[in-house]
Amino acid sequence: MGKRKTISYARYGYIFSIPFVITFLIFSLYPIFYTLVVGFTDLQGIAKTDFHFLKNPFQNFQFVLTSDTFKTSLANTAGMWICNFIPQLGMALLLTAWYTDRRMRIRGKGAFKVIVYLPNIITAATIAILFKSLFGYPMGPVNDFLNRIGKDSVYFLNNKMSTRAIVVFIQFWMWYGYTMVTLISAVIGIDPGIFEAAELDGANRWQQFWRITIPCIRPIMLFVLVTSMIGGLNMFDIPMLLNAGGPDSATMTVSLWIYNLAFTGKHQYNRAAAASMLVFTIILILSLILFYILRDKDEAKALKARKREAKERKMQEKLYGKAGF
Amino acid sequence: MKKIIATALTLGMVVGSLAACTSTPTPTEATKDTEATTESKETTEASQLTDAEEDNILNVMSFTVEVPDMIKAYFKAHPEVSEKYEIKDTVVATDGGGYQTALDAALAAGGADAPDIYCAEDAFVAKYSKGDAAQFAAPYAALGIDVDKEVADAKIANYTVELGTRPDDGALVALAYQATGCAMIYRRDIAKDVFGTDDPAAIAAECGPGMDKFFAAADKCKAKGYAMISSVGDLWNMCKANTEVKAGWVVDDTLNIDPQREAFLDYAKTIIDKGYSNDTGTWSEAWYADMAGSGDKQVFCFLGPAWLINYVMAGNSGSWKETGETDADGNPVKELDTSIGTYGKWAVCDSPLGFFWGGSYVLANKDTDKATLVGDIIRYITLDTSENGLQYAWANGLLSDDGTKDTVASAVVMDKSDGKVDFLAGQNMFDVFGPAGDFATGKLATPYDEDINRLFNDQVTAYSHGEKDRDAAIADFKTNVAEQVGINVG
Repeated sequence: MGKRKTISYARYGYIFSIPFVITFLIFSLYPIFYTLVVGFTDLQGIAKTDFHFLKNPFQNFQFVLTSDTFKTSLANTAGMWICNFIPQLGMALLLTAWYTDRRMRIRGKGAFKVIVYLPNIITAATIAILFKSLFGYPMGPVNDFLNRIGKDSVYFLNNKMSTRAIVVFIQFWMWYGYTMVTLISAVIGIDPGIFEAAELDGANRWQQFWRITIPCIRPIMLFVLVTSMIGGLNMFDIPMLLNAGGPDSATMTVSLWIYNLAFTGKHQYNRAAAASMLVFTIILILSLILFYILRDKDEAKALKARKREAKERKMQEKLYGKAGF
Repeated sequence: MKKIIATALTLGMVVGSLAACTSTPTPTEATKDTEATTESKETTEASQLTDAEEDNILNVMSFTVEVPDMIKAYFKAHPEVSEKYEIKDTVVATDGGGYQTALDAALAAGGADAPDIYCAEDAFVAKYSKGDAAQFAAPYAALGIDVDKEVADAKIANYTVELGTRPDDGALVALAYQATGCAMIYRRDIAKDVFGTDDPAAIAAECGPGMDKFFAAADKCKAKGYAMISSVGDLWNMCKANTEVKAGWVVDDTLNIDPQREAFLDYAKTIIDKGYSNDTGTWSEAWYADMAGSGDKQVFCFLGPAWLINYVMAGNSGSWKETGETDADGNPVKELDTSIGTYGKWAVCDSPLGFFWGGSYVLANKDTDKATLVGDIIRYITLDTSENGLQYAWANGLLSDDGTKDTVASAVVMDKSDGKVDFLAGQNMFDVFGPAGDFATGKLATPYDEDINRLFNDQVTAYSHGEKDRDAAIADFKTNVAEQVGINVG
């Protein structure tokens, strides 16, 4: 009886996690391993499941790395992500600063936040189709407006830069609200006492923002950066539905290329798998670099110092411990 | 306690991973089965599929409601069938490759929910009748259809038979109910203005045969301020599969650019440079506007089959006025007013080069558990020439409320049908569209056509709009075909 006095709640945790673990194993881990295997085989064609390992196991990887489309699509993806992320983070920071400022009392703050977040609720497919018809050529709302002010119709979706710009804008417009909400929650989490103390010490709002807010939300900014990067490098739906990666592969992203490899033409699952793994590796490396760059330097220093201290103490113990005996 | 949970969890994981592993061999077995059946089919030509009905649900997969509606009409006409079976139709639009992705997954997964009957459009039917996915199709002969005799008796358009024949065993696995031989659909008022006549024979002689005459006519239209065609894309269908094209995109697993298809680059460039078109895109708002004559310039002609007239142009002719009332579904009721728009101002004549465009093909799943029923329905849709058959109703507009007529695959049905339509000011369109099917060939089709066509047209657009030179366009096209479709480019 006495043994039963303490109740371990841990087991409920295990029980509740069973469904996740099982679905994860079947629907995530197994496909990952399957992809890993397929990348080294000759698996091509609809509904084929029998495959053979290649004599040169890295043939598919060589194909991907030497293909022009991979380079183009990687450059497109990275370019479009960076061009959307910088203004997105800037805009989100600006709005965060406004909405969390304790002296600037903005009316209808809640309503604004909802409005800014709204584009994120609409499905990407809907937005892509919407923009496709907005920029229709030679007739469409934007071109009608141009005609009305006496300009000729412009074939926006046949121009590489303007199509990329539209994709970048959509990404920015869809996601700055999300980033803002994340950053606001981070700012709210900062101890208000710090701000009060700063105010008492005479710090102005600019100083407060750069010296307190930004350093305090750095972990969350890292989170935003990494998740946005993963999402950005996997960009698929908007370029696909806006112009199927066109014009002339200008908005062809890596995911779109992988999709084309695996689900059109010869259904080259093996090459698609190899390309997927390469993209995974790229994302992994970039994430690690970001974590390294944005690590808390003070804490890292403190950790190092602690380690050094411990080492020195050990050394001293070794040296003097015996002598002291 | 902890140990028990840990053991249970580990067991769960092991079972989970095992379940995941076992899912792999099952399809392999299925493929083996297919191999076995194809082998047996080769030995005993067309072994009959047996009815091993597991349920009473007939699964149908399509990209429009057209074929499901036909099957519903069949059920209505056959009470003994509708008592016993239910139709479960899955309709996925072709936009963004959605339909094929869904269909491929459903066919590969198999089981009770796999489609018994499925449809494919002309643009991608070769993938399901000739490519890897042809393994899922049941030969018509295995559904109790006497293929050679029934096809000959119905005088089915030859190119549809060519498209629907599986090269591995020569079995017919797909047929269309439409014949989509194309014609030149032109505006009578513009024809009178430019050529002084609207007589189909005279206009056909002005604009063809051949591309030189077509461009000469375009020049005359331009001189009077008209555009010959709406979009460069209108011309693509004609250049893609006309009688002059010798071979399709893929020959011996290597890309083949037929001179006729390559010439389309130059045609497109000429059209854009000289302003023979309104530079729209097919299926865009601007394209529809040109049908109503409300585009940039008035457009002289469209090149297309009968369905383009009835299903696309008639509705977009700008002659429909809202009455202000709404129907039961809340959609505005429209009535025809020929004082506006272009309805009734059109005529058809032979196109400069014979070609075909579009058509829906009907296929049966080799694993269907209702072979007899599926065979009967397919016969009703594709081979029945009687007045109770689908094609007679389709040709004479008996299925739809607005009496839309269309050309059908069976010449026997065409002969007893009447193709007079008000949209063409009472011209009998079957006189032109019927013979047009003879020019069509299904021999050029390859399973990868849809993707290669898309990649080629990307380059055509870039080249014709001056984004790059001709050599670069062809080089980029080859790179894209090699690196996206997976075809050798030699």
